[in-house]
Amino acid sequence: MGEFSPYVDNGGTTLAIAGPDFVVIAGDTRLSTGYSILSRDVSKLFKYSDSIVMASSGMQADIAELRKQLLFTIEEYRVDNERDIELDAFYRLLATVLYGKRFFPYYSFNILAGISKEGKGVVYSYDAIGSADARTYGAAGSGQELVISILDAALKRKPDPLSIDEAIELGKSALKQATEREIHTGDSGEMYIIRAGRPAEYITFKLRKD
Amino acid sequence: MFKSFVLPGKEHPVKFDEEIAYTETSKDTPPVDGLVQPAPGRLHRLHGTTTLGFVFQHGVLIAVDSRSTMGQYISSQTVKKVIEITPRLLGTMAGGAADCDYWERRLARRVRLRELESKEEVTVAAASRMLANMLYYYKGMGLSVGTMVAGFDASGPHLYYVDNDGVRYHNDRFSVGSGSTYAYAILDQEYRYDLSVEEAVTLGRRAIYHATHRDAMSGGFINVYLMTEDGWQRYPTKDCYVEHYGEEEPFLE
Repeated sequence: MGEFSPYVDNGGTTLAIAGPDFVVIAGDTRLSTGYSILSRDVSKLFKYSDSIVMASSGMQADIAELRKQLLFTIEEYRVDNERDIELDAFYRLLATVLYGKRFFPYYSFNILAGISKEGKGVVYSYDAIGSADARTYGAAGSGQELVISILDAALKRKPDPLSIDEAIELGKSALKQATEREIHTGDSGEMYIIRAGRPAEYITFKLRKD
Repeated sequence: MFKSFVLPGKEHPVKFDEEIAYTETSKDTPPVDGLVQPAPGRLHRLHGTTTLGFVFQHGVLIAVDSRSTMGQYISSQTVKKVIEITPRLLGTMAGGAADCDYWERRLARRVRLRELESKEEVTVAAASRMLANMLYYYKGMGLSVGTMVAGFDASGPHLYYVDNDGVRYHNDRFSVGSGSTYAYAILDQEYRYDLSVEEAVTLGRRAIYHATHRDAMSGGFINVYLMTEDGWQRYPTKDCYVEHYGEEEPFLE
């Protein structure tokens, strides 16, 4: 019998950028194992409410299970509290669900994007076992190092406030640039644009398929 | 008392961590049995840190850095390494970020519930003992926690060191993390019980700054908290870039 080997890295890159009253969250749709591309159309984004979207990369099977657990728990929350879950509670919930598998982690790297109670765009970036912090932009997955450098250069200490069009273009462009240099990223991109007080808007864009 | 955690089958969690979760093959090396193994260290984050705390005439001062690393990669420069347990209790974070965060939040919940039940403030000794007992229960399971519990209760200011071995020490000063030796060098040289608040804040910042300068795994920003009889208060966060160069880091055009 072979060694117990529960994890596979299915690659892929995700990112999110927050602004004063909006947030965009994006990911590619490639699913690969090693040098094989298994699918070109698997979403890394998951919308939990009009203003909460999660992007997950890592192992597809673990991500699917994590989403199922989260859907179940937020439905329980809705029944118990008679209201939909807010971003700050969802942030803690995800951390606790991930930590519940502290000794056998979900192989998933998550970014959570949403609008806070004050109407501000927020990004939370997680590790596999539920350590998270709020920030204004984040990246995860196989192209994390490439993408975060692009976002750092464009956004760190940016003197003027970020506009929504700038954020959308920056998000698309960073994923395109990661596709140029990272084999597990590509095929097509998708993005949720979340504005305060409005349902999330969904767009897709082309990425290299080679 | 404890929520049950999912375990990786018959595998001991530490063995699992070392042999499977941290396998040496990364995504850049050829796949084994057609599968690509996760890159080493990707599952856990924050291992390098510098945190310090000391008791002086006006209370307890806590100073920490804000860098979080996953191996060579800096995953965040803006981590909050001071956890606000109650208005008169603080915890610091060194070791695994998720471990510290989860168990100190769990401590906060237990302290709050006990205060509501007994209508009395939980002492620093009791709170640190609760944390040490929780960690002792999981001893040998691979948790990574190095924390200082700082607080002010009826008997005055107190500082405890608690870690994943289950140890709990009481002293007038501690420094925890990969940069702790550098911080101790400054702290031990200049620490006095009769420090003024201004001197204490400056000393805390200086010790952390020197640690971030020498220890590659520490850096980012310096956060300072002062715990007095009236509870904790936060002092302005300082950027290590500014501490070093004396000017703001410019925007990369």
